[in-house]
Amino acid sequence: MPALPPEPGPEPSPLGDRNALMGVNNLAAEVGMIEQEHASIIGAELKAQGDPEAAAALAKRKLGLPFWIAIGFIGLLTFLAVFADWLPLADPNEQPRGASARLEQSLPPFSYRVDGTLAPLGTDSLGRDQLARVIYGSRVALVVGFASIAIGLVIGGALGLLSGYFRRAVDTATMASMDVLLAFPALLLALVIVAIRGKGVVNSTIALTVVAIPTIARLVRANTLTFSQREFVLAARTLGASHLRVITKELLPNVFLALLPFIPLAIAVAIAAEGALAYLGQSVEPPQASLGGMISQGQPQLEQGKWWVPGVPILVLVMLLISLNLLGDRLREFFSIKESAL
Amino acid sequence: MAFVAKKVLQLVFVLLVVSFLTFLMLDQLEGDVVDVRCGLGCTPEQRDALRTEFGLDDPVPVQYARWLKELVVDGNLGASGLNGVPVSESLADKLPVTLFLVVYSQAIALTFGLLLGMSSARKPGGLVDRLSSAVAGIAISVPNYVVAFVVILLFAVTIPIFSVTAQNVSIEWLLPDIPAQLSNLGNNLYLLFLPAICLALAELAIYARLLRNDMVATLQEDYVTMARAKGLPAKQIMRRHAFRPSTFSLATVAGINMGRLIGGTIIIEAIFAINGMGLYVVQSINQRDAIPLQGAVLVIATAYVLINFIVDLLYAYLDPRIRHARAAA
Repeated sequence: MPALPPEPGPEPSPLGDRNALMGVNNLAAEVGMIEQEHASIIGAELKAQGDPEAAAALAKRKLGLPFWIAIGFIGLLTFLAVFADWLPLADPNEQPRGASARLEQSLPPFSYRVDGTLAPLGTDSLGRDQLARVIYGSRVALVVGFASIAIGLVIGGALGLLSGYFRRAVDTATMASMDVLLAFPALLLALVIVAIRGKGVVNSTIALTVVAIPTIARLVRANTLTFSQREFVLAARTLGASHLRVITKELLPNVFLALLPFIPLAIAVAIAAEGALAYLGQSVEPPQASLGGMISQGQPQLEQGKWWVPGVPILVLVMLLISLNLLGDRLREFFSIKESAL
Repeated sequence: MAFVAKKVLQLVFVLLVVSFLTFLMLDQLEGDVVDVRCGLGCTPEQRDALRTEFGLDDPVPVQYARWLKELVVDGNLGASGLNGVPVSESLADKLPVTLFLVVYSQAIALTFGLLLGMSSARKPGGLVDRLSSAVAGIAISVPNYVVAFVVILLFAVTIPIFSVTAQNVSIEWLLPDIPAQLSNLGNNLYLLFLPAICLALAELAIYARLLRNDMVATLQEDYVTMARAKGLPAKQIMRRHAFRPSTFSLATVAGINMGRLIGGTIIIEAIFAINGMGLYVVQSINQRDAIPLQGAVLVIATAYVLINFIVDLLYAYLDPRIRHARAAA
């Protein structure tokens, strides 16, 4: 093992995976960044082996309280979304009827309806219960966000592993097709796919999966490229391991761990994109609730100063996105411990 | 030169595939031009006549070739099935509005991103640095349509200095005199201020972070220590010695973001009712008017690919490491 160069700056690129998310279109730069990161992690591990102080620092690193608060919020929202049908919630699509209906529209949070029942998060412009709608809307956002990234990880991950491991023709063909997908702005591509296939949870998921695949494939490919050059891969090949074994047993666990911090960020991007689709009226069919749809329906209320009507779904969406981002950032700091930090 | 030639070939290939995909995608759009034309009141014979008129019964490659030939030879993208307005005419109206918005928000993002990045880099870990990194973290995670609601609430509803919508934006090229042009420009800058801020915020945060990190690294270089040892004032070191070498990744990302912003304007244009490309796309989708959608998607994707191509070339040219590596090889 040659001596590793010391860390040049405080951090090589804190925007590493975010750059990839934003489509920084330079494969060489992506691989370079990841190589730097790996070198630093190996350096940290080596240092920890010889140095009890460094080893103690490595063992002592923590995820921190904000991380667990973020996990808690995501967990709570997921729980509410999963068990929404069994919780004592109002019907999310039921509009008040009769003479008093107007009195129950656009109520602020913690106000009472005419019959004395509490509307914990107020009501929307049609008098529907905002708490119930926000939970059912989060259900759509969470399902689409998690499912699209999960499927995207499987497909994009397979493509990236294959092209990073076998290189040559496989690599050229895969990356060329990914470049074609990346030639469309993400939201535009998703919009067109939904326009062609029709609205609904399934089609939104398909659209966002297609949008996520090229980014994931490129990130996995770049990671696979750097891991493929490592000694343990060479050792496995020398011992006669098959390509399949090297990919699944040697590369996959390493690449997955390197990718882990990226997953919450990707889910956040997918949920934000679902919100955008829904805002543009291209997610689920009304009256089914979606966070983006609620925001869009609340816009006229905002302009009349009743900011809480779009404010409730916005707050839930923002808290969800910030939690996911925080999760990703903390995971990255946790796993890519820097040599210089020890 | 061989490198550039290869890149150009790649570009032509990607553009051809993109145009074919655009064609194919919108060919799939349920409700074709015949439905848009007819509504519900056509006899089967009339529908067949329309299908023949638009050549919808030809095989797909033939249709694609005809579409591409019309586009390349005459610059003709067809006409809206709804009102017969030529797509190229609509695009000529709407593209400048979107470009104006993109350049405007990019200018805001770069100006304030640079200022913020430089002042954070001056004292890493200081108050400015920690504050700006916390704000940047939030600004990056929050989507632009949420920012839009906050700025509308603050600056159009609570303190009504700006208007909630900006549908009156028009880019006039042919105004008679300079004062008229200036007033048109001023009006557009005013109307598009809130939308531009919404688009700029996340970019601003990214630029500030990028510059800050690169600059902190640059400030640890030996030649900066040297400049300090010579007794140069800190301001001069920041501006003349450390700034330029630190802007490399910023320049790349800023270039790429031009393309990304074009896509990002879709939703901002919808929120503020700005009469640009994005709103055109959304309206075409809602009206299931395939031909304008095809034209708009093609123009946006082409712009996006071209910008990425230029950035890629500039990147190779600007970065001495890449330039020299290639020269050596």
